[in-house]
Amino acid sequence: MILVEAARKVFNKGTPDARAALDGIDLKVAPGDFVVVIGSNGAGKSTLLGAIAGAVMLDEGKVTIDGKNVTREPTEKRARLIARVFQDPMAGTAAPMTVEENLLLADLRNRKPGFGRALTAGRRERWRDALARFGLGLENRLSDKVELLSGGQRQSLALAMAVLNPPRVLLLDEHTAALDPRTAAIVLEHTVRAIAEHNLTALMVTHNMRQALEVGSHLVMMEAGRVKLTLGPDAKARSSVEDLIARFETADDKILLGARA
Amino acid sequence: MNPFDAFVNLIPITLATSLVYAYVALAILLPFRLLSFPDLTCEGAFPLGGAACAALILSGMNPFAATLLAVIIGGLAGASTALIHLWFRINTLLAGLLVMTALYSVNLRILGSANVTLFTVDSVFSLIDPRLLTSDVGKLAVFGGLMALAIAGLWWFLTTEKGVALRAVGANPTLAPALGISVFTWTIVGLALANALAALAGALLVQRQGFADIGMGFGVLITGLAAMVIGETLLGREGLLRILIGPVVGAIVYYQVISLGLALGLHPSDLKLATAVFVLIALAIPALRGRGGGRESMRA
Repeated sequence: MILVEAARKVFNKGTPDARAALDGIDLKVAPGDFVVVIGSNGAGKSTLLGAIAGAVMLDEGKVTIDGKNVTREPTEKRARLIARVFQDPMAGTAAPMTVEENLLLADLRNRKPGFGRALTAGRRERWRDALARFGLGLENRLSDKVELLSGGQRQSLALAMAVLNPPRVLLLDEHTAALDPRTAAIVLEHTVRAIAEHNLTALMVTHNMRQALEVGSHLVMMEAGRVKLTLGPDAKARSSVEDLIARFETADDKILLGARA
Repeated sequence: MNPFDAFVNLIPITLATSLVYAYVALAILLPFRLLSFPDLTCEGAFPLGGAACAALILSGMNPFAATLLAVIIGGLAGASTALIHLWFRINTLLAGLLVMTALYSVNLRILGSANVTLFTVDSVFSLIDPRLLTSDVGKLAVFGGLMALAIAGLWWFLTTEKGVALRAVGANPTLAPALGISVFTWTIVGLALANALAALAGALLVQRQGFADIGMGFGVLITGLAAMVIGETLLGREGLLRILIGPVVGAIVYYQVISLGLALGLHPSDLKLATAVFVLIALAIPALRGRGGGRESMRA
């Protein structure tokens, strides 16, 4: 369960470029909800995810996860509750380290690292199983450095890392946007499957309107740092891409391109 | 005696010396390669370890305790550099430079004068066996053994869960916090560990040579960097054990090459220039080959 209350974040404060990326936004994501967030560039989508993850510290307002006020907690404290997949496949993995070392890091997300051996046969077996589901052959590349993998493989690994130990909250920040259509489809399919399997509470930002309607239980449209429109499961199921575009006051190239994709 | 004989006769001594300076090379490698934190502190932490150890032994402390304390003090010096960088967001090189500069005065204070002798007091070596360092074989066995222990210890630590967490901070500092790993904590741990090693080298060196000198740290940074670069050129950067053994092999090769150069007529005052040029060439080779620095492009 995620609760964002009256959250405000101003970038370049006190300068002529000051801009409220979040302008008193309220958002409630109930346990098990899969909320898709859309909005034009600069609407504050990524800032919202950052504020929930701890990468962005709010100027005003409150973030509560599972009833716990985390507003002032740094990212590494919140990591016990939150897993995040970034748009850039480089960002979600540690490139100079091996695939298995990356998976160990994912294992450490919700506990303190100890003095025990990092890589054990038992763990390798578990990781191999987790990777085999993607059908990309990653399970045979445990000891390869991540920098040798393709963008799609890296993003699949990032997703596998995020759901290895099911988090209380999964944040997806346009995580398929940098991938080719086929790989994007595979990653999205596994995202949806993992969310359903573990009944995860998830928040996904996307620019792809069709994707926004196809997946998720709820839809949130953001504009100028606020929620402009919220669609529940029924309303979302009835909506078309055209309906969504009609709700945007200003036409946005990226959104339109997303609609045609 | 012809120059080459002089070189050959010196091999055992230079070998033992390189096995001490190899700790400094490791102290440069750990922050640089594993934390992506180029750290200059070791130029001050190395003489700090020597000065602290010498002063403590002269004050009557057991040499083993003095060595241990010197190592801890070196670790604190590394932690200071990390904290200066983390608290005040001061550039990593500048933070190291500040601590290194400050340590020069600190080391003078600790020593009380520009140099002190330890010939009249015990060392860890004389406590174990007074004859330990009298033969070349003894020296090589002691320093080789200690270095093997240090490498084994580092390898063990870096392959634990904690070690992998530390390396993650250097590999992707924005991802690490998202995985619950504190960049703050592990940067301090990494720099403390590295400079503890540099201080250990200083402590061992003063006890071996029987004196501590304020100028003993001068140039260890470039020497260590050269050793690290040679090690990487010879052993590559694949696999943790290779990465850790690299600086040791590099230090051994470096000191032999320098010794040979000196035997063949290289002027000692040109040594730093020769080393700097050498390091420059070694570091520039990847760029000259046209695959320097840039990360591999994304293939979807």
